[in-house]
Amino acid sequence: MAELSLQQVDRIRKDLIRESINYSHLIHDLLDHICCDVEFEMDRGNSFEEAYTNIKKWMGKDRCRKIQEETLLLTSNTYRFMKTIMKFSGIISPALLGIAALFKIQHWAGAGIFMSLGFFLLAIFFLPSAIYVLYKENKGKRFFLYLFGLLSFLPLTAGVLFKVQHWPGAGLLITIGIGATVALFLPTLLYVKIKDSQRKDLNPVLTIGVVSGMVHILGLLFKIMHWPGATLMIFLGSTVFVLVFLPWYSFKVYKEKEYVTFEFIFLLVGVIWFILTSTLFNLNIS
Amino acid sequence: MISRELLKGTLKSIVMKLLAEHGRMYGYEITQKVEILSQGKIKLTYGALYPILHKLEKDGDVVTDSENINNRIRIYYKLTKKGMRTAEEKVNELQTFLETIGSIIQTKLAFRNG
Repeated sequence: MAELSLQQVDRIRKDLIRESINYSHLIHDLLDHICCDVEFEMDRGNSFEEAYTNIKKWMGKDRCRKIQEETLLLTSNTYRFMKTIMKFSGIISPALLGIAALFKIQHWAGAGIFMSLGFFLLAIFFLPSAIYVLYKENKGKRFFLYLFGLLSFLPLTAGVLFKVQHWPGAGLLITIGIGATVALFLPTLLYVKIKDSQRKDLNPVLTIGVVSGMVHILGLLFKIMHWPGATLMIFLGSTVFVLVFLPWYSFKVYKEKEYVTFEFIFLLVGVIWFILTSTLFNLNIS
Repeated sequence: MISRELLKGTLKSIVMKLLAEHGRMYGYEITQKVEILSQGKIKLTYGALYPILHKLEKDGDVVTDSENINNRIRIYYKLTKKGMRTAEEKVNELQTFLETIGSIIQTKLAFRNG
């Protein structure tokens, strides 16, 4: 009977930690089960790598996370309730905000009501339920990533709402939102990416990407607040992002792949969208 | 292979019956036992087994203890007294269900043959 070494068990454990398996003793259950399956495959003549790859292929992507989700749904009524609230408010509030945008563009009456309602749902229902669900599913560093993401997103959305409704305090809210994005969310994102990365050679390029993104977003805030140095920051941030990060990252990650992946297309479209909107915004403001 | 839809409602009873018969068992052992007893017709997946075991633990039907084996922790599940009673009820319920389904299928066949 094959027996896995400490390093091999650790390798599987790290993969499970990366999937944020934290519910009760589920990680021990899954680790032992996967190890038993791998040992069985090794007894049939496969190497550890072959055996583990086969088991992972058989289990499918994010399978352990889904098992944790099913376990939480079955064992916790609060989780089930919060998940439902999160799903409903997560669908209804963007829909209301979308309708509000349409009404606003068409100059129809009622845009403000839809926008306020959408934001109310987002702040009162979606945000608390999402924080609870993400805490249950993730804990640790990933939880902080999502928490900071939500805490940056909320003042930003509120700022846009206040701006559109011409209520006082819009500038402050947008400043808080962008400040939280730059000071909390993006550094945590970089930390989590580097910590979880299986390829250490990507760390410098990821750092450049996140830092240039931070400079760019900070430049946008400076622009809105009419503070000096905005143009230089936007120029530096976007130039480094597009001319250094993007080619370097694409080369590193996609050179081994023979086909164009969806992630690559999303990355390109996302970058184009981001640069275009912020440039238009920049032109409009100036 | 027996379809997942057919198995869905009976898995809890199957797991409890095995635990009642074998005392303490760990997850992989349960899946292997089910596969052997069903001659490979029932394959318990990770996704089906662990939510059930954790639910049983939360309801107080099983307790766990752990052992360090081959560089990892193995969790053993064991029925509590309450779990023993639940297992008996569940197995009886399943037995009645199978007999009822059996009689329906039999009647249908007799009707066709007649």
